[in-house]
Amino acid sequence: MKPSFEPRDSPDIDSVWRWFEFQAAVVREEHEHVLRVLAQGSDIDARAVRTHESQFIGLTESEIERFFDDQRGHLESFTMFELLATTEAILRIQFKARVAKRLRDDLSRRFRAAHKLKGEKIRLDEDILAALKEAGVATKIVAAFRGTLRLRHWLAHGRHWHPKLGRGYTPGDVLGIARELIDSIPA
Amino acid sequence: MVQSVENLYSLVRKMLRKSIESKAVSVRTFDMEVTEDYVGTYTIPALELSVGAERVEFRPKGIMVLGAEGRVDIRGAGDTVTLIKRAEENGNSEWTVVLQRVPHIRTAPLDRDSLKDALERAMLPLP
Repeated sequence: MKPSFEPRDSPDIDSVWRWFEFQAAVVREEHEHVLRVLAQGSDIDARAVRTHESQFIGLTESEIERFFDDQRGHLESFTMFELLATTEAILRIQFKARVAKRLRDDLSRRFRAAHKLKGEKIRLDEDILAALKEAGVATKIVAAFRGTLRLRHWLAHGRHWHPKLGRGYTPGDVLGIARELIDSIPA
Repeated sequence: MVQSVENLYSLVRKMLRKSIESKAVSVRTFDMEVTEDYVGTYTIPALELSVGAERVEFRPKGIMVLGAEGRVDIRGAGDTVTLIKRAEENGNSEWTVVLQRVPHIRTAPLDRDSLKDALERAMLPLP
């Protein structure tokens, strides 16, 4: 199956979360299957090892544990990135829609002013998040999302340095922060 | 496992007989402890090969490994190469060299050529 490079009309963080929970369950199930096979020791039935599991042959239990810890770590990192990227897409779609519709509410006016000034070079933090805050979205909600931008930057650039995030994040934390911001966008 | 490892070391010594006799390669064994879940801690011999300033060790990893009867790692400054003992279709168990793990495992029977390749991988490449 080829990946689709079509634009997403209605990005949605719930679908990211459903994907994460499904993948986490698949990883958990696979982990349990591999441990069941390992428990058979050298009496293992070669047919019990599925093609994609052949890479585990000869590994010890602690190496298998490390492998699955890594899988969960990758999955969680990628999920946090996907949640943040999807939230950015939602905000940018809102921005474009409000600019195009020429609505008279405070947020739409601020978005139009930013668009008039910067055209297509709208920045998430300085233009969209700042406008949301000025239009009345609670400071702590905007600040919490701003805090995740460092996480997003770190994930997007391959995590090759020690990030100064100020706190730890789980996919659940990021979902909560993103949802709170999306739900706070004035109608 | 101990018997199986000793058989492996005998095989390795046999394959390297000429180099050992000419003193190009020196060999010694020493005891090491292996701790495994469900099995506990036991003592088992490790094999050390020295070629000039280069040194590699054959270190048993255990019997509780997935889909194999045993595993010994060849550890050197360059890399670690895994040997696993697997049951063949004829019912015999043979030592094989793991050539790659992903996307699928690929192994080669342990013979003079695959041992040479494994030792070259484990040792630091010549400058």
